[in-house]
Amino acid sequence: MSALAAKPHSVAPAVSDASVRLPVLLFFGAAVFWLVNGALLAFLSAWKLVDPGFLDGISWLTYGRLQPAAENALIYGWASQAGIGAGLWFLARLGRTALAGHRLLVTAAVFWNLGVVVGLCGIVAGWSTGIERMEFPGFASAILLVAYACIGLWTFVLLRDRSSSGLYVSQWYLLAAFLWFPWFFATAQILLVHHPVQGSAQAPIAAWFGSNLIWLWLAPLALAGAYYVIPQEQGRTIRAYPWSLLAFWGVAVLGGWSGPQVYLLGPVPAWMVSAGVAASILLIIPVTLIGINTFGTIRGPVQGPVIAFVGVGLACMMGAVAQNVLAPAITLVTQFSDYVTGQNVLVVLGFITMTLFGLLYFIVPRLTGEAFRPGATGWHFWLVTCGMATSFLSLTVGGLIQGFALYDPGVTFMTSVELAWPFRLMSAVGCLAFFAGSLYFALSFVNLLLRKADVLPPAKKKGATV
Amino acid sequence: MNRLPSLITGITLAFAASWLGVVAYSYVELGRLEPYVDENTGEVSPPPLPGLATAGQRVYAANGCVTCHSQQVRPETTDVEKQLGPRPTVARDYLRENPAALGKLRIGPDLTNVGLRITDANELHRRLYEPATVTPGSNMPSYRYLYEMRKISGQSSGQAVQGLTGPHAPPPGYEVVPTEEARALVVYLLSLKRNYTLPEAEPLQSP
Ligand code: HEC
Repeated sequence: MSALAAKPHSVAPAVSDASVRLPVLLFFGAAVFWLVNGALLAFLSAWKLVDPGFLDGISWLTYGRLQPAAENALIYGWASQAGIGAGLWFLARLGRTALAGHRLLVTAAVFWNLGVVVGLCGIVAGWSTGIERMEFPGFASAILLVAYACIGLWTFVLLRDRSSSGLYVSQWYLLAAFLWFPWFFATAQILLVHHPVQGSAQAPIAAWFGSNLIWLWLAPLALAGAYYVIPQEQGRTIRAYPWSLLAFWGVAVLGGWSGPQVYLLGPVPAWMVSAGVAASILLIIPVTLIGINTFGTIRGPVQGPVIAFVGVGLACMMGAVAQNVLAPAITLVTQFSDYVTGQNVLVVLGFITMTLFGLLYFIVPRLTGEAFRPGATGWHFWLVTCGMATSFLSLTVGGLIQGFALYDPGVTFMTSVELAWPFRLMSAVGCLAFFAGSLYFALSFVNLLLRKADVLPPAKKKGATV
Repeated sequence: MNRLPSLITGITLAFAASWLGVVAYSYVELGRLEPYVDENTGEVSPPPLPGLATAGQRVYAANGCVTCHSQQVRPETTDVEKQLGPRPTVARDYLRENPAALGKLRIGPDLTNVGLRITDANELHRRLYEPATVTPGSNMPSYRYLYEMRKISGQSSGQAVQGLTGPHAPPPGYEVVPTEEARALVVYLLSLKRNYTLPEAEPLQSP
């Protein structure tokens, strides 16, 4: 980061922190709230697969509504908001700049959460669009987009007003993510929900949206943070830094193309699927470079939660892309099985969520001047890591078995259900551990904020004493 | 690339490629597919959906059937042999689907051709009302909430679901009647059959 020579009007970290404190903490607080809710919903829906009689016959608790509600709560409530909050803070810090005012951002945060609430209520009330990860009814997504307009605008202002020359790779990722999100989100919303194209064209667009949501939105937000916190924590610069820029372009070019691979042999143009398969395999190149950059910078025993969480997150990223490389050999069997759900767990709960946890452990103490209680950190780490890993591994192994059963003409469908059962049970247990860990984290986050409130007099009083 | 404008240009171009390649291509090429009309018989494929079926699609989407059921029959696999359908599906099969519920999982069986396997509306109602009474061990959720339990006053309504068993079967003097939503859903399910030919699709195979 030596390239970031400060210009004269640059501000001290404390000043830039203070300028974004309220909106960033608001995004984080809301994100943690949705994390707990999303994890609980994910556990309940996983449990319903093994015990269908549990809370059955209630419309808003039925599996087909609960499962999308969990996914959307985790993606739009938790991961997106944690990423936005972290992104704002990194932009202010890296640009050595201060936010001119935070009112608009606070309003945007409120509206974003309104969108999530309306969207989730819409799903459980039975207005789901039925399109994966776009299940929020159209009006809820519209609220999200309006809220996003203010957020995106401010990130751009933060970048433009930066007082350091040069741009660090984290800023590249953030700029890109904040530009891509409105583009692909609005495109998919318009073409699939508001003015749906005819059915034949919907599948490729939906697949494209799905891969963009991960690789062009959540992954860049998480990676921007990883590139910032790892050198800071380790006290050295990123190893082989120029490669990080190459990796950036790799993700940028391949991310959007990788989607259609989910329709291997499906009713979409064959060339598009081939392009999707090729792109999802080629992702191994940027991901390896990112691995060299990040793991190459981490040396010595892991101390503190930041590196531990980010390390697990990045390892999951590499694992998920390694699965893409394996895919052509096994997709015929794994397609449509729980293996697919397992990879999803590895990406959303492993890669994205673990990395974001690390970022929160880095940022929140710096923003508030309060440390997390060390004991709570350990519980949080092991519960979510083991929960995620249990769920991923059992779905992967169970998915392979179920997949063979689904493929074999001599085996009945119900046999595949019976074979998958014990693995689905294990996965539900993993989800429960993940939920417990998330709850633990939420409590220690609230505890930190309360301690902070004790130390500092409320804002109004502070103004009066100055 | 360390200046904002050139970086933004690069970021935009990288994205525009897949936007044009996947989205614009699908929009222009697949979005304009038209039903196939057989010149000799005048038969239209895929056939137009019965009125209620469109409403049924909404019910299917709203209740997340797609989270468990796929709707695609693949070539070069055992899908046809496992009698998921008489031929693999092609893009044009989804012409009238909105949303196109291709699905990613088979927690439940593929439903592309469920209308060929199950032709009786009452059986579908029984399955939706209490799946485990029809298929023991089924983990499909019960959609009882799409039905009304009514006291039979005078004559029983012609629409009541017949042959219900299990803990939620109607007690004597009561009947279970599908709501508008349940009826639409069943009309949609019955319409799911890809037993017509298309020039670009493989020929039909008899089971
Ligand atoms: C939790 C997953 C799940 C959800 C959600 C689900 N199903 Fe199912 N479905 C299954 C399973 C498992 C079976 C196979 C066992 C059985 O026949 O009950 C099945 C079987 C069926 C069958 C019989 C198929 C055949 O060929 O025998 C139909 C029809 C059906 N489901 C329709 C629906 C509809 C309509 C919905 C949405 C309202 C739905 N399902 C939602 C899991 C699910």
